[in-house]
Amino acid sequence: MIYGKDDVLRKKSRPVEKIDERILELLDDMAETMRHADGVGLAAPQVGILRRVVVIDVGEGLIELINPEIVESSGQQRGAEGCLSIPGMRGEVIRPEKVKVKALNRKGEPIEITGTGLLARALCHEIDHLDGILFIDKVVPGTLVEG
Amino acid sequence: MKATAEKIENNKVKLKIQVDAQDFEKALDKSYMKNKGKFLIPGFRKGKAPRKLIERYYGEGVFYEDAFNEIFHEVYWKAVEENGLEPVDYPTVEEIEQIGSGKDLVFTASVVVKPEVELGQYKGIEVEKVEYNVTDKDVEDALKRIQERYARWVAVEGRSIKEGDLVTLDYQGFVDGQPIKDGSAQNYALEVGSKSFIPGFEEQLIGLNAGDEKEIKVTFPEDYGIEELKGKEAVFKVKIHDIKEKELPELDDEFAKDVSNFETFEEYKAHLREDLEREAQNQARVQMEAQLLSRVVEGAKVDIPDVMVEREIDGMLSNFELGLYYRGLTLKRYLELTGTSMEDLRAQYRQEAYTRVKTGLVLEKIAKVEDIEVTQEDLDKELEGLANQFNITVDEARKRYAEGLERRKDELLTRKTIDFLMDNAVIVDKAQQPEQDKQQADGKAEHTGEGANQQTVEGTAAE
Repeated sequence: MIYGKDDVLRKKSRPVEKIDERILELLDDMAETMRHADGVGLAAPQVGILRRVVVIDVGEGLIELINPEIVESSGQQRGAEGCLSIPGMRGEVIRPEKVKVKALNRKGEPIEITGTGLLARALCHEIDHLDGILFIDKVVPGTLVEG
Repeated sequence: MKATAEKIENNKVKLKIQVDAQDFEKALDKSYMKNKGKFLIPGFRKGKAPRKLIERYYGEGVFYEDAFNEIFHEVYWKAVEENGLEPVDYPTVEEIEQIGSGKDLVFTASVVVKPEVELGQYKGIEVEKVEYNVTDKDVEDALKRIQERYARWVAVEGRSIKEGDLVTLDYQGFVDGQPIKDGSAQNYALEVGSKSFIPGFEEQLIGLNAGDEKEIKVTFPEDYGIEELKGKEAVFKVKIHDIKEKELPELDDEFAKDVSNFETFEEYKAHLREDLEREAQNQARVQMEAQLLSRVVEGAKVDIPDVMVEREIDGMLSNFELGLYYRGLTLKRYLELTGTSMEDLRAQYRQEAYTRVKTGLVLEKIAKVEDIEVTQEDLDKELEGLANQFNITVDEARKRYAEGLERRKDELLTRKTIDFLMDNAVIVDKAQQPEQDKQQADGKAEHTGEGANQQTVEGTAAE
């Protein structure tokens, strides 16, 4: 797991060109790391890999996304977020209430998922990681707290 | 108000302050308004008695102390400002010479002020050149560490345990046929060769296969942490569940693409080398600055008030306490555990605190003498750096950090002053060059080069 000050977290990740054994292993490792850390999502840069790969589980089953892209978003929600790479900090972030994401699954098939509420929040948060953006960059001023 | 300042001891100043009668009268009124509810005068409801009556009843001085406290803060700071003093401690009221309704208030107070610094030589000071060369080996070592960081544990089949494997096992320990307390575990993951178990245990796992069960005989070391087990012979029943070996990633273009924004491994490696070189240069610079500063500070004369050193110790202690707090300890508990008293701890910090205070005063003086100031340009440059670091525009950085930067001005001034001193120092290359010296220097370079690697490569990410 990569933490806070590492500049890997600040870099833009590359798209996955070919879904090979390495990417499948990466997906497995990330899912395991996420579960182990009790997180609802994890992006590849958080384990030091600059590839556009994300795993999410908001309690409705594991979602694996390769090269995800937000294609539609609507509404607004404001709520607290934390990040496995920034332990001990929480802050409020404004996110869309609903987002539609296009991506590839592990078989390389195009998929589309629509998330609202927590899932929408997790999708935005993880996809931000792929562009080197952390939630602390978007936190509502004055709401960042320890704990 | 009138105020005069007089130096009494080295760093102590006595202030004589005279407050106009009417101002003191106002303070008396204020005090009356604040406190009148506390007085009970026959014939009046609580809080309704006039001031004069309360004074007649309770004595003329009934409001003096409170009125004095009321006005002290304001006039003291005015006096400090008017006399251009820089206090480093709280003031002490020495003597109240005159106090009373309708009279000027006259009193004296003393305070410890920042001492004068008499600078020694600070330009043209000789500094021994420090240079660290990043060797190919440094780069290879750094790559190895990165490779380790990206290593994965992969299950192996069809071979027995080797040194370096990660083994999942159950074990149960016995001494004299009796189970050892807390001496068993299931599905424990043990890295063979990590020396996390007592000597002899891990070695005896080598050669076993998944599914094997074995009794391992070991002797607890004489210096073992648990009294009853010291030097005892023990038998551990172990069962091996699975064996994993460490798989290091190939260092190729794909790896470079995975972990960096570079396209090829060669580019990545070149960049890593640059990082190491920059780090090595920084480290060399830091060491040269330390040499220079200690000489400049040594050469200066200043009589530092104890209170400044004690305040510095306070600051160092609260940092230390914060560090302890992050490790889940309180200062009180730490003192108990280490059997140290607060006085001992303070004494340990005193020398370092003294040096810090002196260094600060000397640098401040040099900045003043040399007209070194933090300019808007300096602040802008700092903001640019922050913007780069956080991937945001300079305007955004300004919005976010300008205020904090203002507070860091002292720090920037110190930085600028040290740079000034370095620019004016004479760097002497002593490694020029009996052969023997050179070898020594090389040995040092390699060693510290590694330290530099650690900072770039691992200091940035905590596992």
